[in-house]
Amino acid sequence: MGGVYITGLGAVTCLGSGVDRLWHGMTTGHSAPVPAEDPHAHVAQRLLYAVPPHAFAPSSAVGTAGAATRYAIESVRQAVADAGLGDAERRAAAVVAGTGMGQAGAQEHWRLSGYPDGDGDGPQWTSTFTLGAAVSAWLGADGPNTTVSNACAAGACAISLAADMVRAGEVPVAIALGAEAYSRVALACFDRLGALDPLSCRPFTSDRQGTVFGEGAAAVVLESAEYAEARSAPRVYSRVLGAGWTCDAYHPTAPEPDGAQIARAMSEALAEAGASVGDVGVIVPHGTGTHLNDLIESNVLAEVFGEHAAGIPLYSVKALLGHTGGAAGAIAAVAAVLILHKGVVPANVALGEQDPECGVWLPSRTAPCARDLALVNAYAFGGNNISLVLRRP
Amino acid sequence: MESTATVLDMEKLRAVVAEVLDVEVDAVTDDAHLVDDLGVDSLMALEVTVVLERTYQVKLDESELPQVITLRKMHELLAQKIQQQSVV
Amino acid sequence: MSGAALMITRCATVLPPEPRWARDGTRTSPPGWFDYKTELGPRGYKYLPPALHYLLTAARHALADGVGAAGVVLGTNSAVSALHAAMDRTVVQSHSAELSPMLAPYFSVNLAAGKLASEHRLTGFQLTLTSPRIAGLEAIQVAARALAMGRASCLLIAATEAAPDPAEPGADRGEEGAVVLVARPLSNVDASGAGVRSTAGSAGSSAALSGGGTCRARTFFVPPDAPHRAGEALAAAWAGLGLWDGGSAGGTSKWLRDGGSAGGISKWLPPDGGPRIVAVLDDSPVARRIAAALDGRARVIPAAAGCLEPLVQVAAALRAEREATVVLSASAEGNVATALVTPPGAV
Repeated sequence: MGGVYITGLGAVTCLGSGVDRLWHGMTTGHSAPVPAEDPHAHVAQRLLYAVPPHAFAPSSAVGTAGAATRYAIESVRQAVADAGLGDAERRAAAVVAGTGMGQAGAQEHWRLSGYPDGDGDGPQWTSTFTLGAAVSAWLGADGPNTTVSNACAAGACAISLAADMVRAGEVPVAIALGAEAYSRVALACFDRLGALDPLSCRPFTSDRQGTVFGEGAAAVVLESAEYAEARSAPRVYSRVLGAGWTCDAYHPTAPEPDGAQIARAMSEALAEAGASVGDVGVIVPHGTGTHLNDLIESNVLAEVFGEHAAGIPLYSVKALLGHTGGAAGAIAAVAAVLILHKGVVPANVALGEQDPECGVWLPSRTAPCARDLALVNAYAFGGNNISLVLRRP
Repeated sequence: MESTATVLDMEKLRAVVAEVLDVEVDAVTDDAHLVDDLGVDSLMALEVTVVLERTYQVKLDESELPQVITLRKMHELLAQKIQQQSVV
Repeated sequence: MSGAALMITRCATVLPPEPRWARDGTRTSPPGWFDYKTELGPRGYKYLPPALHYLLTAARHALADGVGAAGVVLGTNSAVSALHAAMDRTVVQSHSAELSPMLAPYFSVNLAAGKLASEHRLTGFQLTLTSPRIAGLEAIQVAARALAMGRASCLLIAATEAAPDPAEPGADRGEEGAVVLVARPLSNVDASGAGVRSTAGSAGSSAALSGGGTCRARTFFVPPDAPHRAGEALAAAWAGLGLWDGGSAGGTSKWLRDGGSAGGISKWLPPDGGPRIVAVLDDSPVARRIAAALDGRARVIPAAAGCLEPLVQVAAALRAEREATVVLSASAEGNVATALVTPPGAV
């Protein structure tokens, strides 16, 4: 199977705007969460890997849209420019957006300060989940426009759905993105559930006590090999070769203890890619810093990869950028694409002692990405699991 | 010493717990095991804690929860806390 | 493949009693129209937002014959909107410590499909679509694509909504209820014996569609600053659904040559009627452009604060005796979806 080409990348994270900033941050390994600047958030833990103010100049088309929409459009702007898409491609593109909370942050603001007037008719109902539509409006696109809200798997689901559209021949080009911004309700609920770490996002460490949210967005341009060749796309970063979608069907918040559905997602993704575990050069885990997720994911990786596990490096994105919710799967995919493209797995962010029960290899020094495949995992709160297999072209 | 029954009515506690657990009052016997018999998971345990703290105006520590495995144990712990608080 | 047809073998709805909206499009459900303890059982469903009660009830009816490890594609816009507002008030006025831990997970809208999956052990996969106003119809298209790609052999297509918080804009257009359809690829179902067996419960109704009805859907986007493209895009979508027989290519290209905006669809619908058309539309420029293209040929239902009504119309069309129905919905933001539905036994 040829797979669907990734020909453009965009990213906005706590490191700032642009894929270069992201790679630079991955190679230098420094970031820090800050207290969320929301005086109305009465919570015990309030750390956030926030996108810095003025990280980029928002498009004037964005108007009163909230932060999540601005991040989404900026990441797509970068990806579309990177891919050198012309007007015809922009107009025909499908857009698939992954987000868990959409414009919830903006709505929380409006709830206190008043809702914007809808064209003089008074405030109108608007869905929380409008950022995907805002992207198509900004592009002037008429292809299908879909928003998927599978929580922490949404960004990866968006990529998989968009790739399926291209494979099915529905559209020549599809743009997939994930975007998430600060939400007081999301923060408060995780706080209530005791799922937040008081210090930082420290996946796979002995002392981990939970996750820390982050903001951001990432976008990829997807097209068929034929189309990319026909329009002489400037470059091909990677191919989306396979995906596995499964569902725990177990419990609202706790992952299935034996990880059977997580294992199935990985196996199905590899099978769809026509690959075996020995072909994988890097794994970008879901790794959130919550006790159970990191433990179960480690165990399942050991089980699925067997004797190969010790030799396959992991790069833990959330240790650098926090848990960016619906954006996480897309940001993880972009990070995996960069690792494959550069041929190098950056040193993992230096954290505390690794939990001996999490027997995964998280190199503390730069390691080669010795094989052509990357595996990206994204597991949603509520039991949605997805694994993606990407391949160097 | 004041009897714990006057400090904290058992039947009221039983009703409160049954309401939170969303089970019949009869199911919340004095010695029914909250986890094994009444299906209380970590999320439900948190909910019970929040409701008890609000209803009885006490503070429960996470470290105290594992010992609260039956209604009877819960009653003992709460009565103790209420009594401690009334001694200022 | 998008536009490919699905066989619907079972169809269940949970809805407030008719009439569900007033002349001016506002909707208020009569208090007490739905009692979760009656519909789901007296225990075990306390800590679920109302939209999940509706969804689980509809699923119970739809899955009465069982379904195995199916996947779920659920569309919603407002399932947890009121919950967010209530939680936000608690955090702003008090503290997160006052939030109910049992309710807290449901801030994440995908828990609706998650709860459905765990209730019926549906380990296939779940997708929660939240595209404004069209997510219910869109679920048909996404399901068809997933089945074609082999991601599941059977899928639930569903939509659920609950009213927004009373203090929010659009609260008077809240919709309540759920629809669950059981879908399989067309080739997988024995089409012998056509007909609809319907049952009705206190708040819900369900139909077993022996012989299966079919539905297929397409979606597209009309940039709000270019609404003049709406008619042209709709024509293309309907061509993709196979709506025009025989001279479909000619009909569509005639439309495109004419620019599409004047005269509307009457030009290319058969003079003796054609399919019944139902459009769920609001008052936005995009929706008004779609309405104009429909040329008075559609029954227009005022859109509510969600994506449920269009899928309710699909369910109604599956139980109808008419040959085919086209259902449409559009959002102010530009999303448009359209579905072609044929009841069991129809050609």
